Amino acid sequence: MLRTAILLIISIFIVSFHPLYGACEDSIYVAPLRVEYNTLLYKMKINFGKHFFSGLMVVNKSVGEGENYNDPDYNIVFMSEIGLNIMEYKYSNGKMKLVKHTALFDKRIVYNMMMKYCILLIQDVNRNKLEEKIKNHGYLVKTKLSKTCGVRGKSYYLYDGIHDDSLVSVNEARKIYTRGLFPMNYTLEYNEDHIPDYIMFSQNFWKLNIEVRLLKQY
Amino acid sequence: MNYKINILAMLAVFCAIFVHVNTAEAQEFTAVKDLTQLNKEISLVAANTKTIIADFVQEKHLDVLDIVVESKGVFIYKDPQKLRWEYKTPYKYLVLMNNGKMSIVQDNKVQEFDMKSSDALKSLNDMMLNAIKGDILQNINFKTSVFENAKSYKVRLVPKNNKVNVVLSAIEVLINRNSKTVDQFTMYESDTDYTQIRFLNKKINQDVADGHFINN
Repeated sequence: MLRTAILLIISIFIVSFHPLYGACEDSIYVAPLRVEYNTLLYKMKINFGKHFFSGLMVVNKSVGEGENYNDPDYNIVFMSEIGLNIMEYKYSNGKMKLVKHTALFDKRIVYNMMMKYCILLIQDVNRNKLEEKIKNHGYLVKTKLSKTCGVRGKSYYLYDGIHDDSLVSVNEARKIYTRGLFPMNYTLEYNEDHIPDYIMFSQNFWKLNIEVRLLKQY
Repeated sequence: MNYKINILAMLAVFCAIFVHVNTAEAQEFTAVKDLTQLNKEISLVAANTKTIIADFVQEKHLDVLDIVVESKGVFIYKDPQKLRWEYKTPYKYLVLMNNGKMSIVQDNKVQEFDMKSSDALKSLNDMMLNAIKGDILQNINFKTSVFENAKSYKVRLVPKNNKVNVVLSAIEVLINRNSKTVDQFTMYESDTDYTQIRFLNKKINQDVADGHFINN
């Protein structure tokens, strides 16, 4: 009992002062696609209530010139395996909008939640700042989500395999918990190019679960 | 939701019963002069086609994307009512049709549907069988227009069913003029967004084991 209490106090002390825990309050939103890639192709599975749907998700970056270069537009398209479009979203000037959807998905709750899913996919924090924190401080980075797109909550970057300043083998993941009437959980696991290669999104009340795995990056 | 998508999957495969390799050259199409004769010839070829094995290449063209999403796979048909439509790359996805039942297999999970259990599925099943028999030009569920050039016949099918219409604006099938079999199959959602399926390495009337149409 006494030993447990001592360990608990020591743990609190370590957590309070240990530099491995960092906070990144000043999130700058950049998309998960780095300069060298413009398109991601994912295999997708959606469970919604008793329904099941599978297909493909394409995230396409549209880099313009001048001001648009650092704030590109994104198109996110959901389609069936045989190629028919299901839903299409566009992210431009910090806002996500539904471009079109088929009658099959003509349910406001579905395409609104899918929109939040897309927002969270696009939003990210400034990686240069993150990497600096990781290198100097540690393996867990806590961030805040943007309020501008209507998604509030907490976001955590998790890194395994970091020892001191060595970044030899890093397993990177991100956990997002949104607030609100219908909170959502979001898990992203990244590949070595820092691109999400597995994404899982769930909303318990509506029994919505979306799971995607990266097939190709162009 | 998935049920409706599977109807669309069936739509995608039914026209592929008449498979042949050839890409039609871009030539002007004019209205077919003798539609009755063409119908007879296609029916005759279909009646003599007992099995088909082919590779396929599927291309998704989207106005908003600067790439073409390409998938490849294998298609096997055996008369009557047996079909295997298998995507191999960049993902694995298998559709099996066998004596009125359809199965979709992915990630070692199987979904099964009885095509006789609903009118919609039954009509699509009938449509598929009619296609095998050569009645593609006379399908009452589509408004059909037929054109020709030196290499091909182009059949344009506009769905009359509103449920199908909201997803597909038209289907175009290119039929090889010599063999009377399908070269290419295109599903249009709009003028700029479409899915095109080309068939390659076709083998007709080779022995095909029934095991191809059962999920192992």
